[in-house]
Amino acid sequence: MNERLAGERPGPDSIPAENRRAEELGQGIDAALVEQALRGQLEAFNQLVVRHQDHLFALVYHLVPDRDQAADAVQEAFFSAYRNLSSFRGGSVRSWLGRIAVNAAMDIQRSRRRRPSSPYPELEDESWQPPALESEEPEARTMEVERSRALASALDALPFEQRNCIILFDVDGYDYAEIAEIMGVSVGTVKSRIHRGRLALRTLLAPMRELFRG
Amino acid sequence: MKTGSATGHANHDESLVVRLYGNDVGPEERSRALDLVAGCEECAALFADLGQIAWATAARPTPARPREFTLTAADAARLRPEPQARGRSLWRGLTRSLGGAFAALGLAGILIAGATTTFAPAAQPASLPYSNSQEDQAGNQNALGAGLVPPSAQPNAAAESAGTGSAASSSDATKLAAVPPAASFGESASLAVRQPVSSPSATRQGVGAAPLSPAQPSSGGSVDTRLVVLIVSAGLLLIGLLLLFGPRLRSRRIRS
Repeated sequence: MNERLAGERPGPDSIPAENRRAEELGQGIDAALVEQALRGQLEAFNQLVVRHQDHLFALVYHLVPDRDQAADAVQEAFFSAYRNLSSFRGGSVRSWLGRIAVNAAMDIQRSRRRRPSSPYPELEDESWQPPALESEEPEARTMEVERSRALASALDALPFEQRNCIILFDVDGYDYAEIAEIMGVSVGTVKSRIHRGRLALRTLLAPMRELFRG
Repeated sequence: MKTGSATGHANHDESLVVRLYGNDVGPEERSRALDLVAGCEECAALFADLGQIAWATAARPTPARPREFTLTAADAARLRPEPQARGRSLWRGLTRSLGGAFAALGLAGILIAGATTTFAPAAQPASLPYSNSQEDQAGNQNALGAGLVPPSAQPNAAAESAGTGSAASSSDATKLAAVPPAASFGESASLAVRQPVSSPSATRQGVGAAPLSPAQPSSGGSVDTRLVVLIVSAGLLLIGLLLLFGPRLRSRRIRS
């Protein structure tokens, strides 16, 4: 009874071997760069920044849908990482940086709760890379915009703990244990937040179900 | 054949389907969840919706990174703690914790000394020896003069004055109303409390007439100790506050 359903999320065992090798190689490079940075080589730290800045910006942007605030959070995360480089205890640099960035994003989320901002980014903006709207046909483009807005609105309606867990799981591909480490909670809590968040998202998006059924 | 009736689905465990999607089921649960998805239209729709929402979430566009996040040499210099700065922060931490400890000790000392001063006289009168000395009587008169003796005790004091007839005449008593109280509040109060206990007969016969010497204070010989504790505590509190707030005030003055 171990066949997988179409759409079911793959488990950690099902990651292709080439991807795993590439990940291990990347971790080795990161570890060497951390060593050099600890000896005072700023250039080595900046190589780490270059390797991870896109991923961290995308991660934080999904948690804090405001470009400037997300950029500030990422910059603050790299400052914090540099300041606390000596506290890095090995393992995945990507996860470590992710944890710092998520904490910076959560600080911003807490302040946003006091001073809410609009969760609807302008997708027609030229600065989206790759272009936010993939389709050439006007009808399909309108649908993409609608879908993105509906999803952003529904995600914004979730408690931020649930939203963060879902984004880390679905968008960034972290597993339950990594998210638990990043968020500083138990694996059971992470699973519960994700499952409850998914059900809540489905309920929130029920009136717009057609937008999601390709 | 899928069963899609609302009543049938109402009995189905939706969370099991959600956990199946999240690959968070054991072998037995997995089998049950697969049966639900295969046998119930609603459960199948739920499973499909979860997949579509997750796909759409992952496909949400991200704007281009607005800037490089690399650190400049100036950033690095600002962020990397220098040994001198580290030593300074260690020293600051030490003074702060010492200051806190001193201030807490000082405050506790002052409170304890204050509490014993307030409560000791009320607790001790029974154990004190009767006193019939002139000093004591003068103290009583002072207490009377200061209005500290309760009205019920005043006739006793007058009777005592009349009975002994030596220490204070009635004219003296009227004069004493104008005499400022020489004793401190604590002493006057303690004497005022002791006053009703001494009976005129006992006073006349001179029972327990041993006078209190100046070195033997009226409240059981602990005033000196209390005073020392109070002074030391105040000193500790002052030092503690200086250690706590001194560096901050200094840096503010430098900044301004």
